[in-house]
Amino acid sequence: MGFEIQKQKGGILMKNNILKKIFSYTPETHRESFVLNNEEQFEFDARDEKRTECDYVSEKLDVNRAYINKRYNLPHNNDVVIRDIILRDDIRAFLIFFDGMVSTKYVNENIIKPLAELPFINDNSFNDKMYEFFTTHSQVKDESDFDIIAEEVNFGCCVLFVDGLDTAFVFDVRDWEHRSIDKPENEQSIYGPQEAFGEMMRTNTALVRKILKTEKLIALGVKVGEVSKTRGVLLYLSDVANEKLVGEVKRRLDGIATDYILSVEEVQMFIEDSPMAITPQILATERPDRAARALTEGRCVLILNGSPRALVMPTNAFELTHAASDDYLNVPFATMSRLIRLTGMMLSLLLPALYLAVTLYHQEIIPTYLLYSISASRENVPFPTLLELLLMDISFELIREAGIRMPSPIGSTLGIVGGLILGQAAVSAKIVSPIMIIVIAITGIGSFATGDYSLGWAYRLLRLGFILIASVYGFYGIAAGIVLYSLYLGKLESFGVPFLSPSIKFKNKGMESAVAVNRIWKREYRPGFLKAKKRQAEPEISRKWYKDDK
Amino acid sequence: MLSQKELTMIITNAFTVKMLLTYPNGLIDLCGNSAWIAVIISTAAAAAVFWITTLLYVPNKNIIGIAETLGGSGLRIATGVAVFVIMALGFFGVWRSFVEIIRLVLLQGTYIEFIALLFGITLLLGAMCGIKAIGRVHGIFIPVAAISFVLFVILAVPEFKTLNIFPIFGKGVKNTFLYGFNGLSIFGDLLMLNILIPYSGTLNNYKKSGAKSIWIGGACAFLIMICYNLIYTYPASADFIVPVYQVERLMRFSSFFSRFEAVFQLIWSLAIMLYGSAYSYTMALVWQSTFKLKDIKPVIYVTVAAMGAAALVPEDFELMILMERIINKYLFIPVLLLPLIFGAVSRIKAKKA
Repeated sequence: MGFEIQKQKGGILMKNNILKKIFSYTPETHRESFVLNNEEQFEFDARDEKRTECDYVSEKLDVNRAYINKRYNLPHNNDVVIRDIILRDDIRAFLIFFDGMVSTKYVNENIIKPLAELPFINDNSFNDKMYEFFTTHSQVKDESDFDIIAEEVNFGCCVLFVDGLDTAFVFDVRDWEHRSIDKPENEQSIYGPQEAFGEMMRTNTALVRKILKTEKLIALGVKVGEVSKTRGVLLYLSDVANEKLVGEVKRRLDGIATDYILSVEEVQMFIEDSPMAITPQILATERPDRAARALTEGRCVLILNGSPRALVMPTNAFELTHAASDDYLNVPFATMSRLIRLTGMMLSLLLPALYLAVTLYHQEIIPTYLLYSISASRENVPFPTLLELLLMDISFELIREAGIRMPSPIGSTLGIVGGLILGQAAVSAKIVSPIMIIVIAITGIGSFATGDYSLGWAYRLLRLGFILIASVYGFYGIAAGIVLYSLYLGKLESFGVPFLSPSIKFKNKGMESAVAVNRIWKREYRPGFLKAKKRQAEPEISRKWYKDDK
Repeated sequence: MLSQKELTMIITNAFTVKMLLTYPNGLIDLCGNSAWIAVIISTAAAAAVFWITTLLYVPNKNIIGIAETLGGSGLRIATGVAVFVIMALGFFGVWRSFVEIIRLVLLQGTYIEFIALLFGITLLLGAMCGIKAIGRVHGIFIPVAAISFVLFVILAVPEFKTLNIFPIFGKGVKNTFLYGFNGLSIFGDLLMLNILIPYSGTLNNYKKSGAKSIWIGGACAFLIMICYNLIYTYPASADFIVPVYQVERLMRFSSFFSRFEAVFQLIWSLAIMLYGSAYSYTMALVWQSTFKLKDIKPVIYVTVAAMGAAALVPEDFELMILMERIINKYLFIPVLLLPLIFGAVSRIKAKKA
């Protein structure tokens, strides 16, 4: 009975509440954001340059432990491992490392085991060089600066703190999962080495060092990103590269003021002379042999940990059109290949615009029978040529963009859908003319022949501009576009080197060759625009046997 | 700095592009069939005047710089304004002729203002890129244009009729050897070379670039003129305002491609636009150095806009050609004499000092 009354009361209350909610005014209550704007939340900021005594290792282990706990937000930080060790004579110590970034085998066998089984500790051995006595790991160093210690821990090292010592020991036991050395994906070549850079910095430097077996190859350590401190190496040949160039690259790398740098492409955007330019001014390569060749010419190469591509600086407009295979082919074949590639690139850039200009304004240059053919094929197409062209070009770009993001098993389906259905169906439905399909197909093939992938992006954008200007001004517009793009390239520089150097030389005795490939025994001088320390790369007669024969 | 090669390319292009416009027609009018001889005489005369100028010219300065040294700010401003006016008079005709030819050859039925607008935008943006960029692009483009030019001459050969060149002295010896000096107006851009001296590094570069440009430009002008004279005889040849276009119209390249003028016009357009960019920059440079302005970009805006407006002032093309001929008749005199006079005076003053 009482329950029923309560139920009735509850029902009335509920009804009242609902009515209140609907009809009565209730002021909006301010809700605190989950992300508090509280500066005190940050316990440690790597950007903060203020240094205190606390930033150095203390003799008291508890102080060090408390600092580490605070800095690494322990115990919230799940993958930080703190391993306590009791040494002989009850000396306490602890190890810190990130789970998954170190080799557990090395930590167990080479660090913990020797320390736990220490036969003796005396005054001679209990000091900041104690690792020389007790540990069996090869790469160890002592360090007392907590910033450096944290940086090393964050980069996969294991650090040992010992009670009574104001120094910690950093063990390089990095060992994380990574991709093995693979074949190049974007710079394939039938000839020459088939290795590509991976994500591991040291593996990458070793790949280059394996090719250039000289102590003159300097691997200058760099760190980019104020918090991430992403590690990289700046490679150059000390007896060849211009010191000012090396200094300039280093200056720009040091001048990157951002918290996190994750990839070499981000670095590229930070150090390029004109980052908003549509043409890249730094060559990015995934081939160690190409990087090595650039080094021999006097360039600098930047390898960044975690990036499977290296940056080659400086470069010029012509080198972006070159392919790695050019150096491994005989001169006639390499020149032919380069000319075909250049033709393909020009077609990808200009063919749609030229087609538009010819069909709209300059029909007189089309032979009569071809003109009939084009005219007949366009007879039933309801759209103007410009719209037809834009429709097909955008469709092609759509297929290309989708193709990159699609899982590879579905890729072939996309090809069928794009190529057959879209092309064939569009012609059958009389939306576009067959000749337009041919134009777009040649343009597409030409764009795939582009030497540098990022240059392909530039050409895609420029193509659109050329199409629009050709639709209004015909050949005259194309001429204006070519002049402006050329002058724009002429204005660009890559680390102080004009982007349009070298210009065409008929008697070229240098390594530089814009269009035709220079004979390997005639590459007597390094590219002049690099101002290398040592200009001569080989003597005037580099085929000595030939001279002997004569 | 511009390399000697780049400077040579800029000036050679400047000399040659005029032959693609209405200049040959002016010479034909004066000399008849002997216009090609007039070109040879003019080239030799230009080379001689330039040689004398280089002998007298000592300081590594352009004439505005020399004017300042000789007579202070007053003379600098007077010289600068005079040079600017001379350059402007020489350029607005080129601008109008070019857009008229584009309308005639490529864009029939399009408004002239609309064509001039794109030309103006190209010159503006091109000049904004700076003389170094312009020089680099010249260094790459001119060899390509040279190949096209050789092709042009080769394709013209089948149309040659040897008898067309007779009488060899055309409208007479007096016309050929006296009025023929009018051909010196082709070399009016030697003034541009003088203005660019500060960019040429050394005076030696200026001298070599000038000499090479005169001979190469003269050779190109001679080839164009002889081709035209061998194809069209006087007085029929005087009827065509743009001789190069008339030659292009006759060309046949196999039985497949029948009309080729649009392709040539595309290449000539590139050359003229590059020339226009270099010229606009130089004019702005004159203004900048005359009034010692810090930034050149605003001057480029004003210069290009003013030249574009001036080019569109003549009501029709015929009036424009008439004006151009009158200007060309006298303009080459101050163009060639100014550097000579300033060079001589500065040398005398230096010797006295």
